[in-house]
Amino acid sequence: MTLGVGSLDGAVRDVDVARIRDFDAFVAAHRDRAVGLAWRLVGGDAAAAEDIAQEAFLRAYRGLGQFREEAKMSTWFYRILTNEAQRHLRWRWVRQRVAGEMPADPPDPRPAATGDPKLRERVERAVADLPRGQREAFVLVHLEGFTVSEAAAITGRAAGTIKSHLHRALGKLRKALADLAPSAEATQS
Amino acid sequence: MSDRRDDRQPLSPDDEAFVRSVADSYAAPPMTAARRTRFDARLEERIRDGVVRRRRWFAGVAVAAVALSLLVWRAGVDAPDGGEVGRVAGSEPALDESESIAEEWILAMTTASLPETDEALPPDYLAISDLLLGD
Repeated sequence: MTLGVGSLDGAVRDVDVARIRDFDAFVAAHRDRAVGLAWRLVGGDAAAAEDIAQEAFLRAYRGLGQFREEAKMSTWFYRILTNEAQRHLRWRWVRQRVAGEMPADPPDPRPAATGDPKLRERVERAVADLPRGQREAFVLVHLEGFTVSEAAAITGRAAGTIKSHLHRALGKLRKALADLAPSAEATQS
Repeated sequence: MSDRRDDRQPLSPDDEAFVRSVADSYAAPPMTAARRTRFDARLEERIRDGVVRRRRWFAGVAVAAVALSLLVWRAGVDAPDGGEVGRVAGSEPALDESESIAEEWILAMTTASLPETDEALPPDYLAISDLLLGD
């Protein structure tokens, strides 16, 4: 990110230079993962994923300085992001019910996800059908590679709860996407 | 996320392969350099706008506080609490918080009939989940 002190003209002249540099580094380190995580949490909507990541970074910017350790800052950041994603899903639910049939959105200029679109849609639906806790645990741990304790800190749930959510989510997804599950023989060969 | 010690339960080879195929078929499009640049530029603009907006809000509150103080002084009426006016002018910017509260209220009202998405674990499962899954 190029958020330098000079680029902000007089607007934030009194803002600590180190704070902005820290924020630049923070955005650079977490931008891609944040957008990817938001994308998976909101069911493959690239525009919404970027909006959610933007909102989370904005809030993180306002909270800079409260956190001495990067690890705590990033946990807090991903917690904001996860909550923003949930907020987005709730608003989408409201919009769909209030507006009914909405006209189709204009085509998204962002690059489409790779792979088989029909398969992606099926996986997306199966993940979206999971209850919130299971969906968040599965996406954070199995798809995004966070540890159980990190996922627990991000979602504000106990590690044991995350583990049981993971267990249940995996069972439901394997049932919903049975044809995706390879047989033991195929895995071993 | 500094502590990368993996505390995940090991998956069976079948589960591992299944999770991998879900991850592969459900991955966000990669961030290109152009997308990153656009993302950063937009974020920078939003931060700048936010700072300016916040300052205008502060200035508005300060002007209102001064005007109120003058009115009270000219009317020869003592303010009920001398610290009250100063407290308004010096308070933390509540703009974002009040916006969030209002938004949450609207969401709570409109999604009251939304089925509970965070499934509670049955008590019997909770009681034995640590034994089964560890912590």
